[in-house]
Amino acid sequence: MDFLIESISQVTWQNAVMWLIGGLLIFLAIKKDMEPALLLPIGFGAILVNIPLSNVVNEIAADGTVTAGIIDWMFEVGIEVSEAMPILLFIGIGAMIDFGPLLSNPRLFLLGGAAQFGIFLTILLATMIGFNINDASAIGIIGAADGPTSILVAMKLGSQFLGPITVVAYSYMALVPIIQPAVVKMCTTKKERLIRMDYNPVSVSHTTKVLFPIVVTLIAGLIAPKSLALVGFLMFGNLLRECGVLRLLSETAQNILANLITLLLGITIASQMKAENFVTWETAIILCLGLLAFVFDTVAGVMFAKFMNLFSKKKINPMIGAAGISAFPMSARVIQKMGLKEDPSNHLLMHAIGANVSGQIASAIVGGLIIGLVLA
Amino acid sequence: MNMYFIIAAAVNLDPMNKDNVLKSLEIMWKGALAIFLTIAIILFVSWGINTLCNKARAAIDKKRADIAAKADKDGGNGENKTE
Repeated sequence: MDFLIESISQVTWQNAVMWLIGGLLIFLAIKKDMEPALLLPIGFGAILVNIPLSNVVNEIAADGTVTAGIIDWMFEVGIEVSEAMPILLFIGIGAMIDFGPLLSNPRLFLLGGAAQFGIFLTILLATMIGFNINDASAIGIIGAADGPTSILVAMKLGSQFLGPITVVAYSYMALVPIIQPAVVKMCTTKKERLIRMDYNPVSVSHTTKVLFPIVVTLIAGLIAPKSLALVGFLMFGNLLRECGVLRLLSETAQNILANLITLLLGITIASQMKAENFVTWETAIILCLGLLAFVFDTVAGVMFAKFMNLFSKKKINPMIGAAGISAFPMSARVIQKMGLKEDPSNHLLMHAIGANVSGQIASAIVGGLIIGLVLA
Repeated sequence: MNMYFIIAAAVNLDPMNKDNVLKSLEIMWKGALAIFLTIAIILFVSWGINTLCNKARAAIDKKRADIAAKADKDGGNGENKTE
C-alpha cells in the first residue's frame, strides 16, 4: 500500500505554502477580478507543479535520466530558448492599441518616459540590498508594469528570480487601482487634481498612423537595438491594426493570438513557482521592491507633469503623469475615475490614455535599454 | 548597520557590493538619458509627420474646393457646353 502514500509522504511545508499561494491567486482572479486571465492560470499552475512526483515537471530518475514534464517543456521551448511567448504577446497588445490620442497630443509622450524612472531607482535600491546587477535589473523592471517585458528582461539577464518577478509584476498590475490613487493623492494638491484639460484633438491622418509604428521601430532600433524584440513586435501588431487592409489578421492578433498566448503563458510561468525556488526570503524582498518600483514610477510621472506645467501655458493635470506607467488601460481608467471624483465634469480619460500608451512604448524601450546596458 | 548584515545573511544575499551599486548608477543615468532622447525623437518625428500630412491634406481639400467653386461659378454663368 506504500504506493498510495508515496506522494503524500513527500509533501513539505513549502509545498503547502505554494498551494495556499496558488489558491490565493485563484481567489483574487475569480472573486476580486484581478488580472484573472493571468492570475488564474498562474495560481492553478502553482498548485500543479508543487505536487510531489508530479509528471508535469521534469522528473529526474535515480540514474540521472530526465523525463520531460509538459510545463517545464513549455517553459524551455516557449520562454527559455526563444522567448517566443512574451514577444508574440506583444503583437496582440500592439494590435489592441490606438495611438490616436497620443499622436493628437504628442507632449504626453514625455510622461511615458518619465514614469519609467522608478525602474532605475529600484535597481539602485536592489543592488544596495545586495542583489547582483542582473537580478537587481530584473527586479527593477517590475516597475515597467508590463508582464511580458518583465519576463523577457529576467530571462535575458539570466535572473534566478523569474518566477517571483513575474508573479509580483502581474499581481501589482492588478493592484494598480489600489496603489496609484493613494500615491497620486500623496504627491498632488486638491487644486492640482482639479486642473481641467480641454480635449481638442489635432486631426491624425491615416498616413501618420501607418507611418508611426515604422518610425518608432526605426528610432528605437537605432538607439536601443536590444529593445527591438519587444518594440518591433508591438509596432508590427499596431501596423496590422492601422494599415486598414488586414482587418482579419488584426482581429486575430487582438483576440485569438493574445488569448492563446496569455493562457499558455500563465501556466508556463508556474514552472518557476516550485516551492524550493519560491518560498524564500528573497521573494518577500522582491515583493517589497516591486511595490516600491510602482510607487517610484507613479511619483516620477506625477512630478514630471508638474515640471512640465512650469513651462507650459496649457496646464497638465499632474494625475495624468501617473498614467505614464504601462499598465494599459487600467492606469488610465484609474486616473479618469480620480478626476471624476474630484470634479464630476472633468473628463481626463483621453489624456490619460495618451500617457498610458506612451508608457507602453517607453517600458518596452527601457526593457531593451537595460538588457543592453547590463550585458554591455 | 548590524541589522543590515543580519538581514543580508538571513536572506542569503551578499552584503552591498560597491561595483554593483556603481553599475546601477551608470545604468540609471545612461538609461534615463537614452529613454528621454528616444522619446523626444519619436515625439518630434511623429509630430512633424502628422503636421506635414495635415498640411498636405488641407492643401488637397482647398484645391478640390477651388475646383468645385469654379465649376459652380462656370455653371452659374451659363457656360455649360453640353447642349
